[in-house]
Amino acid sequence: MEPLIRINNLVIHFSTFDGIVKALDGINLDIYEGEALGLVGETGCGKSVTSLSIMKILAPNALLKNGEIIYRGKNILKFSEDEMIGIRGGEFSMIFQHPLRALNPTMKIKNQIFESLLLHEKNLLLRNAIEKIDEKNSKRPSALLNIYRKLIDDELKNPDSYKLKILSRIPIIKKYKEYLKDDEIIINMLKKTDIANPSTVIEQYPHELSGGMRQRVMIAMALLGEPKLVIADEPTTAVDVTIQAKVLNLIKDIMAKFNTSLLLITHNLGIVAEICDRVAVMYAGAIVEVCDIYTLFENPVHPYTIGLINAVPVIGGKKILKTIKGLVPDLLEPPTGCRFHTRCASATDICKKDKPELMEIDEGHLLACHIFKENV
Amino acid sequence: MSQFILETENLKKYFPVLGGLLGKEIENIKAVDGVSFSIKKGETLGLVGESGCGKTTLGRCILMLIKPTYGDVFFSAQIKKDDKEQLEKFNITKIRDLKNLRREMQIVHQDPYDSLDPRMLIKNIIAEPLKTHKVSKGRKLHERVIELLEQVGMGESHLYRYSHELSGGQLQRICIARALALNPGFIVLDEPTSSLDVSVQAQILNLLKRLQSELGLTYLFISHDISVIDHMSDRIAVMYLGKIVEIAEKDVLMGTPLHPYTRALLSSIPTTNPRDRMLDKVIFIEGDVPSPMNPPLGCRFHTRCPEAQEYCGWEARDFITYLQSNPGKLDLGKVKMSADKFSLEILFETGSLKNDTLETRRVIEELVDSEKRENPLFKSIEKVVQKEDRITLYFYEANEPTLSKVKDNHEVACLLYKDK
Amino acid sequence: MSWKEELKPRIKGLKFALWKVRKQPLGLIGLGLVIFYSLIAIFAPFIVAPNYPDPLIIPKHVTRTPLPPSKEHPFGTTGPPFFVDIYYGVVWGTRTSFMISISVMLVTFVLGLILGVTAGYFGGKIETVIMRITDIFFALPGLILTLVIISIIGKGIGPVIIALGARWWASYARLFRAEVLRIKQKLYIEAARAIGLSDFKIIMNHIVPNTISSGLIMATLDFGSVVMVAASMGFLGLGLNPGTAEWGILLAGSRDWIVAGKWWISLYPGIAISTFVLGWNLLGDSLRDLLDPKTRKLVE
Repeated sequence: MEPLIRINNLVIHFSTFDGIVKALDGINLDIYEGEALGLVGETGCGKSVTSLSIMKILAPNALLKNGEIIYRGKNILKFSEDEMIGIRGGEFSMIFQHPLRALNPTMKIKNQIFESLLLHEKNLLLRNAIEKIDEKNSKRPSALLNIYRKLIDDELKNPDSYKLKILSRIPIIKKYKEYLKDDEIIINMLKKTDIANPSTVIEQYPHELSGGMRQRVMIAMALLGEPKLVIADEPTTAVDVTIQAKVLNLIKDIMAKFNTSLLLITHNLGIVAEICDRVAVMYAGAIVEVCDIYTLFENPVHPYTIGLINAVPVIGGKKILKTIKGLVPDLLEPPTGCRFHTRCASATDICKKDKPELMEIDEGHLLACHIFKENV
Repeated sequence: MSQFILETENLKKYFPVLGGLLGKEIENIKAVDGVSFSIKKGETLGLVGESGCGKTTLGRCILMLIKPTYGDVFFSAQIKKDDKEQLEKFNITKIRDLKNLRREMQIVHQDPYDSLDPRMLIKNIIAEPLKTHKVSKGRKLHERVIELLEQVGMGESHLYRYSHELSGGQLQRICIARALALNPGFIVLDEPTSSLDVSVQAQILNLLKRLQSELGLTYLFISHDISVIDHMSDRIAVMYLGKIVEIAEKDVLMGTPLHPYTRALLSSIPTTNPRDRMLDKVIFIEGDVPSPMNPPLGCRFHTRCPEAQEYCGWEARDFITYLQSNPGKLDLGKVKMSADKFSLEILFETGSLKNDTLETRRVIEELVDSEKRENPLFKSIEKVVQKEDRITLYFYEANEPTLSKVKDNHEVACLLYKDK
Repeated sequence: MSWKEELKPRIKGLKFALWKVRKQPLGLIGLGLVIFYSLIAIFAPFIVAPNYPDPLIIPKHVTRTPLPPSKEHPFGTTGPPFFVDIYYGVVWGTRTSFMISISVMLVTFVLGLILGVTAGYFGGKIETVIMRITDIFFALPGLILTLVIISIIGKGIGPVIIALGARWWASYARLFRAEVLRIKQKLYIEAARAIGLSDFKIIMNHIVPNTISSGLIMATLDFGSVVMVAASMGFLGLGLNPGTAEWGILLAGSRDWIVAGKWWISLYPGIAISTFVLGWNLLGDSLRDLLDPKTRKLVE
């Protein structure tokens, strides 16, 4: 089966005052349609960079050194900004860690969602708009309303015409855009994300809502364009555990309802266990292991994966946690060969020299390790 | 005989909200609203709760970093008197100059970046407590600083660095070293690993355990992460909206939680076994945490409790909330509601038509009758009084539950367990 | 050798700062101008022989009309009513400008720091009292305040410094109070209290070092403004005695002669004032970008 997105050998560096940070060291990752893929790792491993690369919203000091991201047969890394604007928020959308930062504090919820709708569902709004122009309910003269109808029709058929561009700047004429506002679509979208009283919520500002509510609004906005891929970057890290349960439940429901793919980025193995089908483990800019969710907990192979799982406190678990000695390496001068060798108890000479390739060691189980690839 | 190193009695901390032209105090945020507990010497008491429950404020109050609004905190310390060391108990809420006692009780904060002065070298940060209390100077000071660094797993090479050059885990170790400098007996750990990576957290938790056994420390471990609390604590206290709702030995609380909030909380912990998912059996809590300015009457949790009964403190405000979330039931435009604790007045607008008022009376009577069977809110309505211009609903006046002993080492504040 | 070790990270910080300065050409221009005028002020006696007994009084050269620039008077003279040599005035005026601004900045900075930090740290009634006093000073129109002070104390450099100080200290008090309020919430302040540091020690060791940089930026930006205001006062004939080497006073001499086309009286002092102020403003602007923690490590 062809994956929805295939990342090939992605190498990304960042130029900073202290030098070049080698953030991604040749990532290979496939995301399939309808699956929930967890991308797990600690700070600095490159998981966020990977997701930002897919959305092409990396910081200005990012350098694409190598690699491609194939979507629908094309390399989106070569897309222009215009082409990406169509995809971002539409076919790919993102949910962030801090909804308060992602939402505009000076705009009512309905206006923010409307803004997003305008970008991604314009034709739907236009079609609905024509229905709404009603002589009986309007104080405006019938001739004016006819002009509006014609303009909306034009926009549907020929959105880039000059005539439209000029006409839509004239003061009274441009009021036709008001008919595009569609509270109903917005309310329906919010209902789908389990918000109890959407008609009240849409009139509020972000700071008037609780954390859990804001997260739902953000999820609703992410779904507007009927995305094929939703990227959730630490969606529940800033939220209480009881709300986290609700948000995870919502995400699970949504994935089932809309059949989107989910890329869940987190350092929390627990939430990965709850909603993911497959997991990719990252360390210092490289993917070290990819497997299905059961194998991750029952039969992990890579020493880092094992170390990570052992480091998580478990209810009723051991008194002393098994730790991985040392610290995450500095990516200015990353270790040679396998980047994990400096902290690996089983490292040998080849680990210091050669970077291990990500290879299939068992069905659906990929591993990048010189030593343990026989150990399945 | 086990000694208590710390005891609090009815501790309260209110933050005034000022308003109006003259900036008068109009409301209070009741962050901590009557907390009494004690910590034994050498134990780790875990304090768990969600955002807004007041656990961080409580941690600060205990150390007198914020002045409590009400209540007492008793701290016991070994004091040298005439060459003899004896245990003395101090009411630290009443002591003006705490400088000496501060040596005995320290804090490690959540954010290691924010808790270290960005303009100071690491060496000076750790030396500061030693210099302040004139413990040592010169060569001896330098050696002691190195000793402290090594105790937390760092070294001499870190002396001459600034905080922005080090990682979160390293900074947290430095915060711990600073806290240990004066040989305290008691340390408040306020979410010490919440901002750290998983593998770094494991190192720090191991370090904290090792130090506790080596130095005989007592910990108050505050966190929102229940797995971490379970790993570190001997006893656990659960907080909700400014009060402790349940406190018990770790195994007892985790095995047989009694308070519905504790149960819901424990059920929300994500699994570590994908074949046994939390989401399949979680107890969801509806709604959001109420405002700490006007906490619900009776039991504070009753508005969201999955096991709430009619005697749990249903009040007038809850009825209004019910009508707001069930918009079809009653046309709120025709009446004015006035809530006064346990009584709700539904006033008819002057000049409203006789038919309308009759209709409203009928609707309310019907509503009460039909819901009385299942809905605890309605079950708690004791009487409905119809008057000329208003209807008054009287609810059962519940008292706030207090922490009471249900078993050995297990206390709960819940009306379900009253008189048991 | 611990002092050597202590220096290493500070040197690294300095290197970073210099690297950033390189990316700010305007800042370098500003720095250049400031250095240029500093040198003139320091070496004034070698550029133009000092007048006796007070070098800050320009030697008089009485003529019926202003003399245009010539070999004897490179910038010309002002003629009636002051009869002074402009070149001397511009060169020694640099000294006056520095004297006034350094003194005013010192006074306002220190006064603003003490009062602002006290108000911000202790809050309550102390804060209210201090802040209301600053409000009053803000409300008073600067010119009136200056006039009143000068008329009470009299003329001369001292009174000018006092008058300008009175006008400026309030903004530093406000700035430092705002900074203190921001820093007071930081966890390291609470950590310092947990260790047992007294309020005084916390202020001296933790609060002041972290607020100084904002104050420095404001001071650099204000340096030029002080000179501007002093020059305006001089132009209006307030404050300094006529005949003092000060750019504003020189400009005052041009009032009667501009229409007559005696351009040199306003040109040279004008250039001096504008480039001096420009230099400090550019420097202050680039310092602000330099010290902004948000742009620390980002590189284009």
